[in-house]
Amino acid sequence: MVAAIECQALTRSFRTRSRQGPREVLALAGLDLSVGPGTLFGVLGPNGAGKTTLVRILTTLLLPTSGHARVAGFDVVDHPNRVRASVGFTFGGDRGLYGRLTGRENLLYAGALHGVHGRDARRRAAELLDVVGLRESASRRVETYSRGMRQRLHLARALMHRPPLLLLDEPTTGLDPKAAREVRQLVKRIQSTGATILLTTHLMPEAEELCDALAVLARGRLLAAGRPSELKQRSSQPTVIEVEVETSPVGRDAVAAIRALDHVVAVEVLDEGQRQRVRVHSSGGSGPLLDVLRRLELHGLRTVNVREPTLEDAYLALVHG
Amino acid sequence: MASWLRAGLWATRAQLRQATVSAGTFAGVAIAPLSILIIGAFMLPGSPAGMARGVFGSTLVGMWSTVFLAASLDISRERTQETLPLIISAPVPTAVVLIGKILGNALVSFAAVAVVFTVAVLAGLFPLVVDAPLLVSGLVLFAVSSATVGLLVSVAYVVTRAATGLGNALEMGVWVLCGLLYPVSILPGPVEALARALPMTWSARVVYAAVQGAEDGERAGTPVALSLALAAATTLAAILLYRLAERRWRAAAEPHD
Repeated sequence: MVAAIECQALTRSFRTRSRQGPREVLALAGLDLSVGPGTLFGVLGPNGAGKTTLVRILTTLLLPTSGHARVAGFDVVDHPNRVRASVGFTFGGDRGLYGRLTGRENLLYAGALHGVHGRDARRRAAELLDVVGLRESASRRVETYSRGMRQRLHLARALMHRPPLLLLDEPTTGLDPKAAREVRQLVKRIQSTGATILLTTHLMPEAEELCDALAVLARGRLLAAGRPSELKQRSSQPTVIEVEVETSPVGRDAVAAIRALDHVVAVEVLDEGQRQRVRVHSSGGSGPLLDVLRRLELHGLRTVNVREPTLEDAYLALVHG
Repeated sequence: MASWLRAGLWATRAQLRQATVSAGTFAGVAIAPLSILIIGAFMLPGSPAGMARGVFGSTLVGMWSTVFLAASLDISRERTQETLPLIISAPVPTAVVLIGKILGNALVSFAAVAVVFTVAVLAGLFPLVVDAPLLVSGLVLFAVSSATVGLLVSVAYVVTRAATGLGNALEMGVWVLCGLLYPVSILPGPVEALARALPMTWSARVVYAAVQGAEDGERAGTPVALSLALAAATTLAAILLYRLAERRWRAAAEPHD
């Protein structure tokens, strides 16, 4: 089966000018990546990681300096028009729309640019306006839309020509929580129709909630790729078991007894007024939990909380070591 | 090909919609030609040839400036509102979309004709038209010629932000070069040669051939043919330049995170 996206040794450099003279900046440095059809694939990375450069190469807006990128089997350099017909994209933010045209006109114009015309275009626009919840506002000029409405219109526009691949560059950036949730729900619905989606984001909960697979980029290089659960497992961060006690202070003996347990890496006791919080770092997940509770039950257990390493922990460990 | 044509027509429609949403557009179209008409009326009172230049010169100035607006400022706006990537990354060639867009403004440019003609008639300044069909043909030809030169100029605006600095020089350069306000024969030799290479120079002559006051009384056939041939050549040159520019754009676009 042909991969929806395939990058081999993909490299892109830019020449920038500074006071010290011209300088070569490597935005993508030999990236190898494969995204299977129907996958919702997340690309994570800090600013300057090369996420937007990757999206721009896949939309044919940028040429790679070296290496190859193929979309639905078509090379972005050799067959740009086949790639353009296969890709729909949105860039983050509320720009990229014609403010003086209505929502419906924006969709029809985008359709015309991709060969969708006449009755088919009108039917498709109506269907998409329904999907993104903008049917009531379809005849209003886009300059009157809220940021969330614009982002939903971006998604509808990217889908006008029924592309098998959707590239979403930080689709929830700058949206309020409600609008961001609506966009995420929409992305899930789009994926359920069988589309392949590549989504770049800074937001770990968003990546965790939406993506089947993730790639972490930094300085143009691929640091890790896999399912969110696999990335979390690769994290060197320990599980944290937190127990709140309230009757008597936790003494050195109790701390020593906990520290002696298997998989316990560290124990901290935090004084919080009349209560104490015992934080146990475990390299064996929640395995030592019962033993920890037994050693603390005399002190009056109040609350227990086990925190597994999050995607954010894994991401920070990967990107910042 | 039919799909390209429909995309081009949609670009024209979108441009017309955007241009006609605001009354400010029409004010912009009317200000320069009306100013020139008023100056002409004060400086050349009672001269039929002078008034023909005043009325039709200001009309042509208004038409060119409106078309130039689409080819320059509107494309810069597409860049700042981040809609230019949508045009460039569409399967339809960028030149086809921009031809549609510029033709949209060529249609809007007829607002300049309406404004100047109305004011000239009301003020009793309108010169005697000896060949009305030729006048209409000349104006349409001028709009088309302007659109083709606008398309050529637009390449610079698509390729680089720095082109915005050329704005007035390109807009007013055509006023000076193409004989809109005076015959090109008064230009110095090499400049006149350049003027003769521009399709608007010949379509402006068609307009002047249709009204009283045309200085050389030439037959309209030659300027019509030359205007059409040069407009076709300019369009071809623009399309070829766009092919080169697209490669440059994709190779040299600015870095992103």
